[in-house]
Amino acid sequence: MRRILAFLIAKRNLLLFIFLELIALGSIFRFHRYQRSLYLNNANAMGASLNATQTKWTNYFNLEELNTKLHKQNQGLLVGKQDTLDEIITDSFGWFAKLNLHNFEVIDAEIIFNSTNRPVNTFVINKGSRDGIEKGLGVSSTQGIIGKIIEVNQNYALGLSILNVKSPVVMPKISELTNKSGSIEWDGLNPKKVRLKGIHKFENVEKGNHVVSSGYSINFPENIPVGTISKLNKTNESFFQIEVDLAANLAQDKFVYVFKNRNRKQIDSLISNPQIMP
Amino acid sequence: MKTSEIVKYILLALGLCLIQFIVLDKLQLSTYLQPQILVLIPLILPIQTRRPSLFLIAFAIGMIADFFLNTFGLNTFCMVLVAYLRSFWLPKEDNPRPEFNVVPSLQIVLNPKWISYILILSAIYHFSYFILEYMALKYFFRILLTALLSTALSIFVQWIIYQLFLKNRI
Repeated sequence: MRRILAFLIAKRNLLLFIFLELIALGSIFRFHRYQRSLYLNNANAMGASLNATQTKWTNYFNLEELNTKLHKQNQGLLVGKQDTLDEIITDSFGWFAKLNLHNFEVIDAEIIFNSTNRPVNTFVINKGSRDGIEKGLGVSSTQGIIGKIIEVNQNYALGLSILNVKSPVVMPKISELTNKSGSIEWDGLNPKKVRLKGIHKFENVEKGNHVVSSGYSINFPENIPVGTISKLNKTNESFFQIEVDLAANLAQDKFVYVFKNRNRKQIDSLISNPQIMP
Repeated sequence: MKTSEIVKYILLALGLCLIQFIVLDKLQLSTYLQPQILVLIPLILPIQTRRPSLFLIAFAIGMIADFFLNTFGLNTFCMVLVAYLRSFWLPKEDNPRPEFNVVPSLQIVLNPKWISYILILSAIYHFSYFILEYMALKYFFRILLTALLSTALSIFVQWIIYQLFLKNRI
């Protein structure tokens, strides 16, 4: 016993070092394995509020551009002419009109923190559980899909960006081909491009085709833009190598929409019920 | 350590945190350029700092950085690692070797030994940071390149901070 004590005392620095490193590793693995973070607990409310203050200041400089966009959108809605509305649809935001949102509640929010240069990028929005935000909900800007919520506290929510090398956030399809879904992968380098995988070479895919959410996931309604196919390569494998220009500008988009499936809990309970699985 | 010196260290740490959180992290230059200048804090703590205190200070700074930068323990791990490794580089606190010439302190004297000490430990910090962040061997060469470029930029930023705020002032 005395020897053990003597050993522990002699190696106390090393043991403290190992103990502290294990705590840090615990946080890291918790995030990587379960896509969760420690960011939004009570201890870091200060961090979120600092980001919120900074966003408040920086927003001032984007007012002119935002005003022009809003003015155009309002004009279209006020005039109500089909051709004006069509123009908006092809411009931005208007794809909302095409969405089937019967089962979805849409919550608007603002991004107060965002990263695009890390391998696993995240963003924080200024809405939390108090506003009905839950884990797993899909997030899109007025341009296209941004990511999904992975952690929530009362006032803020943390999202996993579509720009991450770990886990795809949306199941996409090519809108010109019915029911051909694939998967999105980011190479960790260019924040404006992702790769679309799993599309067979015999499919009639063309450059310029639109990639949208497939509707096979409960996180996003069908047909939210992901991007446009910019490069198409045939390889020796059975699948295309497809490069997609992202619709959303992850570095600049500030205002986002969170989609909440009204039947989410019922669907979740069916999926997670072990008794009905064979 | 004198109270005035402790205050100076706290102010320096606060300044570095602000530069890291508000400027460097928001710049988002490139996936290859992610300088972490907070590594300087455990490196310049005085040689007399007891190792448990050094580890705990490094741990606390790492935690603060993780909360603000949304990095899930990465900074904490690397900060404690560097605090541990620095003792292998430096002479023992009770037996300072005169040939090292410079011991960690606020009175930074730029000489080759000091520069290599900062350079190597900063590189270790960045390399371990990106290994943990990518956590996949297929990205090894990208991790290596990112670590090298980020270290170089980090050292450059530290040198600018030294020239602007520390030289002849502390």
